[in-house]
Amino acid sequence: MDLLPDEAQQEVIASTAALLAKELPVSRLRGSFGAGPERLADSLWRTFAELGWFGLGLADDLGGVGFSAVEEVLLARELGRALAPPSVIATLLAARCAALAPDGQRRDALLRGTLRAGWVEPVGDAEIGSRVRGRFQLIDAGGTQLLLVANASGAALIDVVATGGEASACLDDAVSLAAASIDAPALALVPAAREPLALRAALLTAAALTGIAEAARDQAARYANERVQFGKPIGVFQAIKHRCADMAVRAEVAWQQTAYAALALRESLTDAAFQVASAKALAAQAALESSASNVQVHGGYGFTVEYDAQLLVKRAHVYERLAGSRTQQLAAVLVAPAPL
Amino acid sequence: MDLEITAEDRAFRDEVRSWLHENVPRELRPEIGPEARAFDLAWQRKQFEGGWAGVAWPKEYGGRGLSLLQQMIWFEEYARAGGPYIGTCFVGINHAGPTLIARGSDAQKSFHLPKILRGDVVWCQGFSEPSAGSDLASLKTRAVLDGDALVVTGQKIWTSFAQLADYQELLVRTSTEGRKHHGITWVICDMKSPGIEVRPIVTMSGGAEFCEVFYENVRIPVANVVGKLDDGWGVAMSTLGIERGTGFIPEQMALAAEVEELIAEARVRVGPDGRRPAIADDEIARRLAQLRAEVAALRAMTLATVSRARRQPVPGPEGSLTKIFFSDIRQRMYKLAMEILGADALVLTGMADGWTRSYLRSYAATLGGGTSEIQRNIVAERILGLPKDSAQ
Repeated sequence: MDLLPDEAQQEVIASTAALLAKELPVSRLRGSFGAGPERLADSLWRTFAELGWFGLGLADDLGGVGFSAVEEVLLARELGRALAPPSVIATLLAARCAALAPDGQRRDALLRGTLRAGWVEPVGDAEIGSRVRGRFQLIDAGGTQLLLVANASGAALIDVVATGGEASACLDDAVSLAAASIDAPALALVPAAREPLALRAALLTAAALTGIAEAARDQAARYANERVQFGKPIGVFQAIKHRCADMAVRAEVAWQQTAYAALALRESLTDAAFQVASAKALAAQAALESSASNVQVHGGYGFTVEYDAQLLVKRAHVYERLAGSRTQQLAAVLVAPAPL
Repeated sequence: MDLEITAEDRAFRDEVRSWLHENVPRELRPEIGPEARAFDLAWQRKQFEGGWAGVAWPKEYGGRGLSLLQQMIWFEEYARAGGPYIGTCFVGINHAGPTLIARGSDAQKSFHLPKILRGDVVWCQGFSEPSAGSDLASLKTRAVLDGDALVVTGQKIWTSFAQLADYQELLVRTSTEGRKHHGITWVICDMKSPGIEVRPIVTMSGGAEFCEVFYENVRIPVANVVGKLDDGWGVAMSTLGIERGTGFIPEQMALAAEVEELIAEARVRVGPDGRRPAIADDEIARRLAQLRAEVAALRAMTLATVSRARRQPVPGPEGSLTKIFFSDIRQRMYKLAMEILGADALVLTGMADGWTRSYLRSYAATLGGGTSEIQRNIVAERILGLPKDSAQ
């Protein structure tokens, strides 16, 4: 039993973080309001594919790298921290969905980075079977070819062209948003009994939210060390210091629970669903509360587009909605059997 | 990262479970007085005789010499079996014992550790003073060297079970030169020494375990100094590091069981609408779910602590993250219990047979072992690298 990353896992973290710091610094999104959704260049997307990101947790006989949900969580945490488009995680999940579906079609194109997938979230009841039916929200689906949808009954891929939909501006303007009534054939279908992909989706959003909570903590600590008022760095004052400490607590809570949930899912423990729901609920809370607190630490600057603090708030709201909101996860936590 | 449970650990868990099932005392633990001491020591002795005292303590001092993970398994099963609060044995088992293992001399270890494990003695803590609470390093209780003894004069406060204790982990000032963190000495004080007077303080939950302790020319052999003279701050920090790191594991494990009890309570008690069970109320349900998720995270954090302890034997500041979180959950759980109880929230119960006295006691959770404000300073300064206040 060991909850800390081993050397190979630390290598996944370090190499991912280094690449993202170079290619996707958070500052790239700074300074604009209404610039519109971010679409990563095909060359960068292919780099992700070459690094094996889209098949990281997929068995090698299914075309993947052969790691597990644990390494995927380490990747998703860094993607969250870098505010990488949520479609990166959707594409990883879509590749798994395609690989596990009977015909395996589109798997290789997703793994190679020539197809991308966005998120589709049910609004109310949705039917996921040989056809996908219901009211949905399409999130970060601009410029993708496929959509990944998952709930307790299963997961499916659908063709983005089959959905139509009405675009709206998104709270997070780097992410595209549309609403659609969908009645489309499932291009790949994985029933939950085969594998609970909705759980994996919730787990990876928990990891991304943890990355955001950690980024908020680190931004706040850095600013509190730099900003001088009353002749001292503001981090001297307990009103600021304790806010920062609370961010550190929330980040630790979110991360350790997410790490444990990843292990529970990998080992198919009987309480995996409970552990994942707990992780998502706590990570969403951590990201929302810490990103808000980070704006306050930044004072007036935090309220402007000149600083990165506001970017974290907005992305936290996007990931909170994906793969089951905090409220939905808490409901799942309470109906689960007693964990003891 | 792995959850690999070895066959050995699984067998260990089974063994623990069946022993506890047979041996956990059925009667309620007396809350105060010599009866509490007698109960705690008898139970400690029973655990020792069963081979369960000091699961992770070195074998040479009577422990089992097993892993911290197995120690955690023990605490987890202990909570599941409804084992009693450790009470008067807390300081010996969780503070003084581990501190002596880390910093004590061979003579101190071989004299004291077996007594602690066997349930022969009760220890208490003498750190805080009326003017040295959060600012512990400003402590003033004086100890003057006189031949082979330290002569101690001064006062301590918040000493739980001082009136029942045999020994005390005592911080005294042996030098006023230099910085205030220098010149502090960690010493073992025999509570039967002449010149010691104990006065109990009644707390808001009606308990009288807290005491003030007064010292007038109390002679303590120099051989009782743990670590070096004037160098007790480092020893005290390792005591507190152990407390924040692994010392609260039993209480953390117990909290999980309490949250499940509260959920069960909410299923049978009538809720605020006077008709449906309390758990049918959306807000109550959500807060219970939140607690359940948080307790799961607390367990994960504890596993991380255990994993960390395997790599670095001296606990780092991370223990404060867990302490802040744990105390906060505990208080919120009892506040929610008061809402779920409805009219019964006004009925004062005992500690072990109801919620309300424990609710009152939960106010201590963010105070004892270093206030949550001090823990936040530790996290901010030692983990996040924020600047210290120059006045400190």
